[in-house]
Amino acid sequence: MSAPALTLAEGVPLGYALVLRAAADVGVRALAIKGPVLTAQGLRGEHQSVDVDVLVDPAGVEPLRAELERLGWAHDGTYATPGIVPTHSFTHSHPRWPCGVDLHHWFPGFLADPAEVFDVLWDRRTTVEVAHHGVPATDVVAGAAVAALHYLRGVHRAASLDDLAERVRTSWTPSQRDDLAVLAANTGSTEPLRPFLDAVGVVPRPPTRAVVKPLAQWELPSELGTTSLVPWLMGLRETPWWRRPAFVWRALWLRESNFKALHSTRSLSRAELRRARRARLVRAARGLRQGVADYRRLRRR
Amino acid sequence: MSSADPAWERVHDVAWVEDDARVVVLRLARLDAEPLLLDGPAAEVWRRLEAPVGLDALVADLAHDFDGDPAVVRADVAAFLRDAEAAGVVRPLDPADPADPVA
Repeated sequence: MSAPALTLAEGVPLGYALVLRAAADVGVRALAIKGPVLTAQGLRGEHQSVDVDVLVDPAGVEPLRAELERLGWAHDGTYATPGIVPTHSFTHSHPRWPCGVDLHHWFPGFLADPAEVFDVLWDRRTTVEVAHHGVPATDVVAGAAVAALHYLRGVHRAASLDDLAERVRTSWTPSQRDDLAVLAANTGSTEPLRPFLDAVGVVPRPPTRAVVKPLAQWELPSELGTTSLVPWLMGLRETPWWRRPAFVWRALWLRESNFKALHSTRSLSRAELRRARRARLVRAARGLRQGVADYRRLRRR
Repeated sequence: MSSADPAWERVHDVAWVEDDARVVVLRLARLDAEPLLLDGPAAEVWRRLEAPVGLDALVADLAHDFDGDPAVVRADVAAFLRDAEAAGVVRPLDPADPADPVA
């Protein structure tokens, strides 16, 4: 027996087991989401995830983060770049593990109060076997909702959304589909999920909970032509004038850790980093006109 | 199996993954400890602990499958079980303990 260099295929499932056990050890409710949960529930095919995604009771996020820090999983700040949707997760990483851990204290698209949403998801939780060990996870209907919201928020995830919709259409019972409408109504996600509900033939139900997260915030990313430029322009406007030179430098010369997060990798060679920086600057230059137009449109809203 | 040849089993408080080359075991009661990498004979023994099994049966099975010298196999398996027990990932079942399923 010796110290291992874990691969992603080993680290991700073991990471799920580790985080869910750490949460239980400190009395925090947490649910495995995405990744191997989706595969186990037949919501996607075999696919190597690059990180561990866990939805945490908002009241328990800080105790769980402290426990992970104690275990050597440091907050790595890889998502410390501007975003249109407010911060909804913390990423922790460990020098000897190949994957990061994303602790989500709310999930974009569930627009009801995050604590109430978590209660809804927790009450209907199931157990999924990951790394030969049972972990608490979203049930199949909630898992599909989480996945659909994730795909709807991304600009290059239409194929994943189509695949998910096809699986739901062909394998779910009418009762499960109706349950999806109930879940959406109970979590304030009916409007964000509407394209998915339409795709799988689910008739939306009236919401049962107040929406506390602005729908406009959810709609922005899908409306914009340049999703990565606009947050930087918004961030620049909100930055005090004396910090703007540093902000602009950071925007142009993004940190290596940011590139690793963007490329879902733990290591980049100097040449790869150089190429990624150059490609990003080229994209920014090409998208500048559209980005400024999007930014001006947003400011008029 | 006899009291001189107790059955061994994996402890339940672990998560583990495997591929063709190795097994990696995470001790859930010791999350600050590094996962254990098992390869070679150690991985073969781990895979055969799906249900409780004694040392004699393990040795016979492995010596047959790998055409190995039983004495050498016994030494390797015994060493693994000793190390794995110390690491907290396997345990011998106590025939005198009614809580143990093979007692």
